[in-house]
Amino acid sequence: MARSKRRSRPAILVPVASMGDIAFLLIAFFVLASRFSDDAGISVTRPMSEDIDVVDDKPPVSVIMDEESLLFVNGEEIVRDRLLSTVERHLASYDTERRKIMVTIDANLTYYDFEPIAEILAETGAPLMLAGQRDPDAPPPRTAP
Amino acid sequence: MARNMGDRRRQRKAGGGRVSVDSFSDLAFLLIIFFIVATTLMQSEGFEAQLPSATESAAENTQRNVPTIILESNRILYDTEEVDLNELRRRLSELNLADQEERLLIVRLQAMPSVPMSLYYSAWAAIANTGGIVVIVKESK
Repeated sequence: MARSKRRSRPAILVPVASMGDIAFLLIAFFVLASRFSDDAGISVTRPMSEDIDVVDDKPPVSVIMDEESLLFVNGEEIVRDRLLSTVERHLASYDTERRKIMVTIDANLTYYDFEPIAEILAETGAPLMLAGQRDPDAPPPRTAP
Repeated sequence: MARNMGDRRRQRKAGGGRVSVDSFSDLAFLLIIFFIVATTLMQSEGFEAQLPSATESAAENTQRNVPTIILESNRILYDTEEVDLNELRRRLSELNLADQEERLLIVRLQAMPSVPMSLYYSAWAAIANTGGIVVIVKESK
């Protein structure tokens, strides 16, 4: 009696040995490309304005004055007397184009709290990026060229 | 007979100690998904301001007729006339600062100490949006 021929199924093998490498490369990319937030945990209410826009290139140095008038430079609390030296130390490692300071002042403070900080930061000569928040319903600002 | 049993024991010893790495890629992709989901993409909003400090006499200041904005408590005074924020924006845009020389971009912004930061910020942002430059001027005595 002739045996019926069994069709042999072709073996489909998908090599998955390199998937682990790909996955770890992706993880390494995200870890290196991410920049951890310096101001997480600092309680500050950004002032609102319709005349501001999204900042594309976030400055490397961040100065924050929170609701209790405490000063933070890149997340580290400092006293006012050391503000200039601390900011200049942070700015020293950047070239002229990148030397900018992100300044966030709590909206509930007054000009009396801000003025001495502004005078100190003006001595650095670096442009300031004053952080705020836009009203989400406001139309986009007509920025000057 | 003894040889077969010895062979079986050797095979058992050789087969032990293997670590399965099949699930490493699963672990890695789970980690990636965790980082992607847990990461907050932050967008900062604000405006750029150059803040030069200068010392000049009051007389020179008057000659140049620098637009002056004074903030008092919750009032905005544009050249001594009270205006609201929209009117301030309109008057600043009339100055056409974007087409002016650099020395004519200066807008004096004075504020009383008790002025809330929210108002000061709005006024400064309105000036910066029209191309003006706010300066801190210490008048020489």
